[in-house]
Amino acid sequence: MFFIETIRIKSKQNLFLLFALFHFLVILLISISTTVNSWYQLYHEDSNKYKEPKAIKTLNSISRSFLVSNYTFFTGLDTGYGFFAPNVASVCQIQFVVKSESDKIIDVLYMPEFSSIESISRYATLMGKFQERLKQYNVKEKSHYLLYLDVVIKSMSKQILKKYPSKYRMEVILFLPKYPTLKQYNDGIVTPSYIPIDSYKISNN
Amino acid sequence: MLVIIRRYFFERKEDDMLFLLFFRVSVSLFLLVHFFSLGKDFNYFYSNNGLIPVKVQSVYNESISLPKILNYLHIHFDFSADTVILTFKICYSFLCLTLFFGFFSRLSSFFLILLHLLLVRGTPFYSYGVDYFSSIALFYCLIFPLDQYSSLKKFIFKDKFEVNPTPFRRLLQLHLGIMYFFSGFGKLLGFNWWNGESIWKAIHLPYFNYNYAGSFDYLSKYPIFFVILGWGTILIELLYPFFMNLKKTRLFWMLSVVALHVGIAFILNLYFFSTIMIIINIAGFGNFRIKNEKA
Repeated sequence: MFFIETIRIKSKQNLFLLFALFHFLVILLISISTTVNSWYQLYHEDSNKYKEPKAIKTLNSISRSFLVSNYTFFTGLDTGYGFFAPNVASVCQIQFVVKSESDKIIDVLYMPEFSSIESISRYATLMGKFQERLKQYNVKEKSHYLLYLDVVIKSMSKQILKKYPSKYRMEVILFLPKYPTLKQYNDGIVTPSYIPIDSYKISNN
Repeated sequence: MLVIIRRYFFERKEDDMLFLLFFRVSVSLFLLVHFFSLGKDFNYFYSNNGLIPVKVQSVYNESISLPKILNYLHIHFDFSADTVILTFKICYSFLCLTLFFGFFSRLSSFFLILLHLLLVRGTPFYSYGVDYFSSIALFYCLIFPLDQYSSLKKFIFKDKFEVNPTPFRRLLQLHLGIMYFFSGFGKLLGFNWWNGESIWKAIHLPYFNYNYAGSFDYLSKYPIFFVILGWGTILIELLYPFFMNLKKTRLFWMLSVVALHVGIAFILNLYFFSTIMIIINIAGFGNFRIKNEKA
């Protein structure tokens, strides 16, 4: 009886270890691939000479495989852990200028009127998505994704404009606020610069 | 080798005894408070008539989401969005409470994961670190036997079965070790973390440093301050797996990690992200020995 019980416990332990092995392999895989990808994006993405190593391609294809991608989707493991790494990414801002029929400025907003700090954090996450505009700054022909981001801004603006009288319109500017670096600040450049990226005109119709 | 691994995972440690109780109670409470933290802004993000319309959100995202469900129920069954959102909120709260009291925790966690995925994966435009760590915590709630200590289920069914919490805690500890190591390693690769510029940039990001914008500018006279903060962050994270596993340094390292997250909470306004990180850290390495029980 004792012997059977020992075997039962051992096989349960083996099963647990097998699961732990798979779980940590997935965590390692995602951690390595996200770290290497962000390192590659920082140092080599613009370089014409550098070719993406085969190892990165293999890691990415494994993490996109059916089993791994579904497991990480369900468990939240696919995010990677490189917070603010390797470098802190820039965050764009949107200025919404609400104007009346007579062109009088009624309101200037930088985000909808949120009631909680958590909402602002979520909105900041949304603004982070516009980094793609910085990567493809001044391109002659916008990619599908950039056109999609335009639609996102326009639909957001329309939603905000709905709260105003129907004849009001809105001018929307997507821009990059650039705070001086620590070195620049110490060299006397203390004023942030605002780099316009795109602008849109929105009406309630 | 296998013997060492077995001993590492399965040798019962007295410090782990109340770990499952802490994990269940703190994670469920966190999820409940975080869920309601959006207040009346909930509809901005998760209704079918929110900031970004469902049709636009769906273009690059095939996942089922709460806004998509609202849209479907409204078109096909004429359900009002408010009713469905209220039902969703009641279900989410009920599952958090059943998890809190330890009433069929695994079942509660499973359904909570599904509801959580509807929010996090369905609307990725708004999802950030806290949501992914909530998913991870919920997944551990699903696989950990959380009903084992001071649970309603145990009270009702008079279940006397005792489980060894150590293997489950080892899973969490190893995960934390890998996670912090790679977080520190990623920062080590970025040159702006070496000279303090990353810290300077982070505290001046729009939307993040909402309460104290500009308050740190006078510190620019002491760039070494930012260099120390940058390297401090790298070292705390990179050496986490090593120093958290040494008994002598664990408390100091734990306090450093908590201080790091408290700083993130107040300076970058990421209160909930920091809270879940502190909860997971305490669950992983805090002392959960039952009083009067000798080692």
